[in-house]
Amino acid sequence: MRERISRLVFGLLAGAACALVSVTGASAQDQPRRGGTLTVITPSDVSTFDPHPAVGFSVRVFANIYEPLFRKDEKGVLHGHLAQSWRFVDPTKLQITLRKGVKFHSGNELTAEDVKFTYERQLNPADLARDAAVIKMVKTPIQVVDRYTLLIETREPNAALVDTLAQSLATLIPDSAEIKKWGKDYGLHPSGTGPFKFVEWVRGQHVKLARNADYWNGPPYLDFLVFKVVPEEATRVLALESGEADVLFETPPSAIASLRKNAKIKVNKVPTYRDVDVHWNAKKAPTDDVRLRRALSQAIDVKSIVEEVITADIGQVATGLFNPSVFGACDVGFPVYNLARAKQGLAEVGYRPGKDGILEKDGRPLALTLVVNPQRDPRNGEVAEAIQAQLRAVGVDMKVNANEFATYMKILQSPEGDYNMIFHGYGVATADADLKATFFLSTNLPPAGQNSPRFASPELDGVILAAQRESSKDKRRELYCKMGQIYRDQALGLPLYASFRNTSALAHVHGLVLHPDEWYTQTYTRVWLGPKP
Amino acid sequence: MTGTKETGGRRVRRALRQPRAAAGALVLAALLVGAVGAGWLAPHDPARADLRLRLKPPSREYPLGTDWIGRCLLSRLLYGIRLTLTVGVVTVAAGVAAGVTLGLVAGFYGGALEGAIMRATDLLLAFPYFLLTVVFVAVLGPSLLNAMIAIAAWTAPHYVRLVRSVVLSVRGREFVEAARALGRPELGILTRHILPACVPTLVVQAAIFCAQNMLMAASLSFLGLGAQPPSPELGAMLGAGRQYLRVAPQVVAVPAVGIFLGVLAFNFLGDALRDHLDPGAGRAA
Amino acid sequence: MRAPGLTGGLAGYVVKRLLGMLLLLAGVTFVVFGMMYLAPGDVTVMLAASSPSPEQVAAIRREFGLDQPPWVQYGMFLGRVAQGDLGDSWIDRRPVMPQVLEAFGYTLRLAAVALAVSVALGTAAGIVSAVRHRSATDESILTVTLLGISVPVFVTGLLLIYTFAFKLGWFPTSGAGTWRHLVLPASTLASFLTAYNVRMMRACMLEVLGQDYVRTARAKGVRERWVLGRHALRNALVPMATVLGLQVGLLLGGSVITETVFAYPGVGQLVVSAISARDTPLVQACVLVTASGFILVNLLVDVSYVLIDPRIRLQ
Repeated sequence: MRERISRLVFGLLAGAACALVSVTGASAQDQPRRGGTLTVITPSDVSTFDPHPAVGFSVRVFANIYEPLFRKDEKGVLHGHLAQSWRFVDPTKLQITLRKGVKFHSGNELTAEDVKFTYERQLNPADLARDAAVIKMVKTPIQVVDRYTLLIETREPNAALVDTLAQSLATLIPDSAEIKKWGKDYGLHPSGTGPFKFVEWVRGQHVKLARNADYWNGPPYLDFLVFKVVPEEATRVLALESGEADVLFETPPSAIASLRKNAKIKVNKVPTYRDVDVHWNAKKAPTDDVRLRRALSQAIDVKSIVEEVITADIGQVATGLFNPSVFGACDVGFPVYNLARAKQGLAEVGYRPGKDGILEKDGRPLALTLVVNPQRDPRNGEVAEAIQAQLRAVGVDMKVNANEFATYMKILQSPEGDYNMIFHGYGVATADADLKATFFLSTNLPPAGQNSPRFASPELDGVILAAQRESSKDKRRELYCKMGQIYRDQALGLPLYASFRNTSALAHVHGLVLHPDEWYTQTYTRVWLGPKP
Repeated sequence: MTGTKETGGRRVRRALRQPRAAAGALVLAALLVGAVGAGWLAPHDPARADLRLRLKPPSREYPLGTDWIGRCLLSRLLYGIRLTLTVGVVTVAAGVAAGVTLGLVAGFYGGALEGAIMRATDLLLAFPYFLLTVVFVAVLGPSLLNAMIAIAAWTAPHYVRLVRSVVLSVRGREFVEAARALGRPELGILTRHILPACVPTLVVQAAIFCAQNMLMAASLSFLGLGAQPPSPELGAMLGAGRQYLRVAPQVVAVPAVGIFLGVLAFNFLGDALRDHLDPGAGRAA
Repeated sequence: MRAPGLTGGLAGYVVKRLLGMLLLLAGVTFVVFGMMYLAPGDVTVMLAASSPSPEQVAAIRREFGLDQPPWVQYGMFLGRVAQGDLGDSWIDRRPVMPQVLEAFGYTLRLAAVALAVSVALGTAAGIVSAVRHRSATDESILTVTLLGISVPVFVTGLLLIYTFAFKLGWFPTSGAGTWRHLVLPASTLASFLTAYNVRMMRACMLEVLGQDYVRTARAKGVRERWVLGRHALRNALVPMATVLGLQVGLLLGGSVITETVFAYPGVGQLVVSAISARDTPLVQACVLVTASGFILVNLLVDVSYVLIDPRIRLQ
């Protein structure tokens, strides 16, 4: 039954994709045309074509070369992809049957052995797969039932298992025979089942993929797909405007208004699974005092920061711990900006105005540190500056510590945790709250994990784990609401905004179905090019 | 190449009367007024933000407009010039102090000490200079102070070489030999007889390095490796503001003009001085 | 050059300098290693971003020898380098040398074009400046070139892209591959170098024009153009070699921002991303290759100096 529904949904989608959900302005009479090269601008280069150790934005290229067992469409509906059907034989055992006759680019056929190889490679600590932690609930070895059937076993019942296998980088299935053949050099000889095949990689400049004419799910219209590397944001916009590229995946907010006025370009706003929060550090003085965290939270005007700095183009004020497009999202009603109550709260904790208007308690000024990594998104730096200025207005000396990614992660995960507040932006790639919720487990307190508020309680652990095991959707949703309330009551941080993505494309690009997941899911299979104006 | 008939000081003063030097001095004077008087001249607190006033064009209240979180650009420019000039002068002073001391010691005493100093100098100069500062700041953590240390560390070896070459050229001269023969203490010989011979070349190099160091600090801040928010460092303002180039050009133009004027002033000064004091320079750089 | 003793002296000098260069490069690797060792955060963060297990982190650290004391790590590194192996990148597990040499090739090409443009411009303007010494033309040439050197390169770069790539559409905004890709980034760098070259050329010409043989030629009534071309220019060009050597060095390491703005895949961009990723072998290789290039160019300049003018003593 489930298989039929999934097939139905999938067939409907695949067949009607360009007519129903294309967002780049294909009118009904336009017929898809074969041929052409689509150039997509990306801010950084691929690090390798082996999907598992790959880092950074390189993964955005992979969705076109490799495919997972399951996929969620842009509306969040789950369907089988390389998996034809699946069922839980018991709460900890998932049996998966693969689609037959799917060929890798090398010509090898996809079998259960490839899936077994992939997952076992991921979960082998010596093999250094970047996203492996996402699937660490899977037990190894994986059992192969027959050529097309395998059994995946988990340690505990896991309600989000199929969602997880749908959208993690760790679940892209490469050609195991080719990996064994090339060894260390596989990264330059990728072989997947996806709609495009690897052609060339000119380091620091571009990646070129070509149409896979034997693609199992209907070959793409495009002849070639090129990803062009342009690190400087201002240059990226100009490259699109001058027609050197066709698609700009993430349009900087400052360029959106002028691109909208450009008749040759369409800007498409899509929701994402991402939200950006700031977390207090509940372990480090003085923010280890929940009363202080509560008072300070009310001194930050999230609404005006989001409306003015982030703007409605790229974000909406967060109302809960999870992005509204993610399952488990719940409006928990965070305390709003209230200067009078913030000041009153600060006075109750014992802070009095001191030198230069900075608050003091027992002769010590209220000096805090905010850690941010503005590389991923320069807007984070601006928001940090706005928070700094607002807290200064109530007498807090907030130092902004802007770091590159490696340093940011080091601070986040260090045992001492040298921050009072830290940015945390996260795209929930599975579209299921579980992925983000587990950050808050006591077992993920640094240095073991990334529990950035450094707060843990048996109650919070209980709620998160119960939601993970629970199979009823309604009960899970309730549990995630409960989690949001604990987060709110403990003032562990401030969710700032749920972000939108603005993908710009030249007007002759048709059939571009944009996916909320910013990392692994954007494919260009159904894209076709009309005549250039 | 350096004459000794006229004292260094008098030659510097004469060189300053050239038109380009005068123009440089004039711009510098104007910038100094802005920098020193920032506290009185700035209409607003450079760190005070008002999100409702984001990216506003120039107005009566905000003569140069506002930035991305609604801060007064004029006030930030004035404080920014103060910072930029400070960075230029302090890094040059630190570089000169270290470089001159080591160069004098190396040139005057020679021997193993000279060998060690010169090898360390070669080592630092063998590094591609911008990479050195980038790695250095990435390691120490991004801050304006660390950027300044990195810049000073890069400039010092240039002074070491320069001063040493001057010392070597005057070491054997009669007046030094005479001072030695009279039994003057070595430190006295160094400071009274050898150092003044270095002054003209040093002044020229200091002015030019001041300009270069200001640009380098701005570049590091532009890359996010220098000044941290809410510091109105001009390079940082430019780096964070560049995405608004087309929506609110003032956000980019104001710091760009600030850096330009500061760098230009020192370049004019240095160039005119070099022209006058040291026409063959450049070959020795 | 006919005297065999002198040639032998030159060969000995070159060998001595090359040996010195090896020591210098060893020092460079030590400094880079020390800095990368002290840098906060390591490559495990990049390789295992979302909550890695402690076993995974330990496995990565073991693979790269990060669990060893620093002196052991550095010793192992030197041992490998002595065998001519700079190692594999920690991020993509590929040998670092081909990557770095490729990027270095791009940087060299950019540097060569920028240098050619600025030398051509600088020489021409420098001669005019010297011939019309202390005239309005001289002053304006000196002033205008100073403007170029006072604008931060990222401002110059963005303005050039906006005007010539976007508004006029003459050149691509970014990337590399054809000569058209080189025009804008090379112009950005050249705008910076021209000021130096004008001054150098001007100073050299002034010195030569004051020499006796030039005065004699003029006195004999030789045509001015002949004086300039035949006597002055040829002699003035010699010291330019040194300046070029210095500028190559400046360009090799100093084009990071230009490369970033123009998405130019040179060694500057490569090393900055390698530092961010804490990819120590790649950083080492980038710095080593660039430093070697810099030292070699300076050696070449010194040698060519001796060859051109044998009066100059070997150090």
